[in-house]
Amino acid sequence: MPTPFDPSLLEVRSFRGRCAQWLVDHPGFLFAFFRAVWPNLRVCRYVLVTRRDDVEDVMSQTGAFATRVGPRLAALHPDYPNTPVFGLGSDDDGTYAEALQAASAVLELGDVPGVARIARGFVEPRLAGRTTIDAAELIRLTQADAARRYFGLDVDDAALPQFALCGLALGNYMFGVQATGSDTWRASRAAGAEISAIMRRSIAHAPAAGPNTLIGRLVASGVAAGDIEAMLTGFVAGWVGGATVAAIHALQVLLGRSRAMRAAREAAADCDDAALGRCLFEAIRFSPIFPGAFRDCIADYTIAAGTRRRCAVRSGDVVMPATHSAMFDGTRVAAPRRFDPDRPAGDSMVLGYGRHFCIGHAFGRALVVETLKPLLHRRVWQRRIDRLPPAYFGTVPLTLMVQLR
Amino acid sequence: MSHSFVTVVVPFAAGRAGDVLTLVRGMGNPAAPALRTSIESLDVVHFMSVNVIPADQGDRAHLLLEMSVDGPGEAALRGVAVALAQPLTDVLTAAGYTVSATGLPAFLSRHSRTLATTWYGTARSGGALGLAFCGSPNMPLRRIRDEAALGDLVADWSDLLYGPGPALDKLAAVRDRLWARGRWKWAFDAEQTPFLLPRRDDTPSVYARIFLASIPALLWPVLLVALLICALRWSVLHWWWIPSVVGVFALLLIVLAAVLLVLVRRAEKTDIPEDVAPSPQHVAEVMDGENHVTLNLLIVVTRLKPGWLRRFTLRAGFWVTSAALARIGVPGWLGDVGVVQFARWVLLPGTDQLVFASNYDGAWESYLEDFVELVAYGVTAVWTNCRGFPKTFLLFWKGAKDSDRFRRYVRRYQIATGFWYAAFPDLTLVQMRTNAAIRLGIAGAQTEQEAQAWLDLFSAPR
Repeated sequence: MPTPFDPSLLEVRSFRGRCAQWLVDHPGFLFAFFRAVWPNLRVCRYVLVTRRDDVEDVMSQTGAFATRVGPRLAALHPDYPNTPVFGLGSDDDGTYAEALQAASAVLELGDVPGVARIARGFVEPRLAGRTTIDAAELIRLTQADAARRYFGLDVDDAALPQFALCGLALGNYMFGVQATGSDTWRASRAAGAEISAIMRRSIAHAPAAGPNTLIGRLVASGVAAGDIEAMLTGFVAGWVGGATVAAIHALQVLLGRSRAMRAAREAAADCDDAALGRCLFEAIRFSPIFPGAFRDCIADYTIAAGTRRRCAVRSGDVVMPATHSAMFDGTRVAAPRRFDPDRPAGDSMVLGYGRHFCIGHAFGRALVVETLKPLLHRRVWQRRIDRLPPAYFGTVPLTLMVQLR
Repeated sequence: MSHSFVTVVVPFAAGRAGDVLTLVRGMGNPAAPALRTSIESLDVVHFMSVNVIPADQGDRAHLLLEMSVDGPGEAALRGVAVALAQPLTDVLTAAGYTVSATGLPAFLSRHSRTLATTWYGTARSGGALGLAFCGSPNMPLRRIRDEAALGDLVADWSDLLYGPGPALDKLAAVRDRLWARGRWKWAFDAEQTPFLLPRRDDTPSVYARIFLASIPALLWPVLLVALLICALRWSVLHWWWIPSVVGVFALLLIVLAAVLLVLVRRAEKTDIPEDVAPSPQHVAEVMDGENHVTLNLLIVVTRLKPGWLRRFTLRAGFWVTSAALARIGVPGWLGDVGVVQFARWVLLPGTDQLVFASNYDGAWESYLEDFVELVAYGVTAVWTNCRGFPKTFLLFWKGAKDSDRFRRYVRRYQIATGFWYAAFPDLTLVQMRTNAAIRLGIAGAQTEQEAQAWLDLFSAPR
């Protein structure tokens, strides 16, 4: 019997915890220091990589550095070891290609406008007549609602908040920096088990889900139940976990930067989704979903070989290519501290880089835009007293009270 | 991913140059198929050449191995030493060195030179005065190859690209088809593409930044003198001490610049441009090595004019050029010239021989035309320091603008290519930019105007 998911294990309320969380959320000055002084910092078997050149190098060397996403997803589904979607987090060329083919056959780009409509339809009624709202909760629920409708999950309205927290916890487990075996890690595993149960229930009720849902499509095309469960669990982690964090971080950045907020409001007022998307993803660059994703070194490698910052990494070491830092490397990114929605898209690494570039990127963009656009239309702002959230859930504020005009 | 410029300079007895050259040419221009396969297997080498630089004075000729590679140069050099162990050891044996295949990586590494323009960079072990240029920044081999395949693939989808309808719909259809094929996910990720960025303007603040950067790189000895003068004259505790240093420094610079200008002008007036046409045999030999593929290699070996002044102005010219390229114009473009894939200048250590090696698109004639019409001041700033160059005015002016003399000068000092390898011998920078723009459009075009611009990329024949 798996342990039930306990969201309180992921909540950070203590002063010390919140300070640590603040540091994780604002690592810019530390990264700047390391980029200048110690670009590849080694502490025991952990290596922090901060320069853009080296971050790209590590993320491109799939033969030397393995992601943790595949194994972590596979660990949630010990009953289905041969499910191809685990390969999406794999660094083996053949497995990865097979998984990518399977996943892209399911996530059709043509579905993006429909998903955007779902998100819009969820957010707008909830803002009507409100002058104050918990934006964090709204964002969480919007992603969860879009996921349940698009995937065809058997989650009713009452269970939606719990599903949203589970998705967030699962995203934290898959992509976050938490240590294996910690309380938060165990809670996240429990969230994964809970989502698996939802998947099984939904697959059993697939005909009711309808042919326009992912589950309906997958069941109709004869994909094995285990494969569907594993695949959609991975998608939930990226969808609910990733998009929620991205949207909350984007809003926080906008609330803290008047110029950025002005640009985003203007784009929203003009109904220019492209410009709004650029504003929001530029905001996320300042506070990305996570500062970087751990890589396990599986073959000896020298980072930045032949340069003064070279760093030999041995098999078994853990490397963190800090994508957050890489996006602010002045040697590769022009005026990195400036909020510039028109900067080249290639400067940003918020959706990953190289092989593990986010497979749901098109959906993520649409979700973030559609979730925040109505708030920007209502000229969202925040009182000073609300700026310090009472608690964090994983890496995002549990509540984010904002005012609407 | 950054590129590295590997430059290996091996001196040897001039009497052996004929034998060495025979072996080097035996490696092929373009590279012999077996060698090509070996280098391709490394998957890091964009261009590589091995040439014999004949002795000009004294009895030392030089073997010059230059490579433009992805990632660290040291690792690429080791890889090449293994992949081309046999032909390279044969060449070195002919040059009088006894090098085993196992000792080859260390040997090449020992003779490897790091190009630099600063005093410190050239003074340290393994440094050489030189300047490197890359026309395809942040474009590793893998990316160039993948984007070329993407461009070819999409160009074949005429059913989606042409016909009536909004451009955005056509782009969406291409995206859908591409996405459904699974393995093209990378095309939806917009990577940094510096050579497609808008031009950076040359504002006064940029020049100010270039000047400030020149202080630690070149002008620090003058600053030291200024500090010394002020330290001897006034106590460092006075509030005016730092302004005094700035003032004295500025004064010294003005005096130094004035003296340099006078010296340069005096030297320029006594310069004698060469009016000697290259011999037909030489031209035939050089041309025999050109136009086998779309890309070409130009190697020009000239001699510096005597005296410290020209060494200083060469260094300053290199430094200013590299500083300006880093801050002004479009990355990957030499001013308005966008056909140079990888190029370098290097002053062979211990000699006064300046080597220019450039891997460029198209024919020699059009390349030289670009030099004359578009970047004459840059070329002039470097070659004005070499013997026989057309008359110049204050280092930057005239010179290459005397186009007939300039062409004769380049042909006369050009040497026939020995061994030359190009990873994509028929892929020009124009095509590379088009392929990159196709990928960026797939990844990011969102408006009808952007989609139409993307469709226009397919209007030219591929």
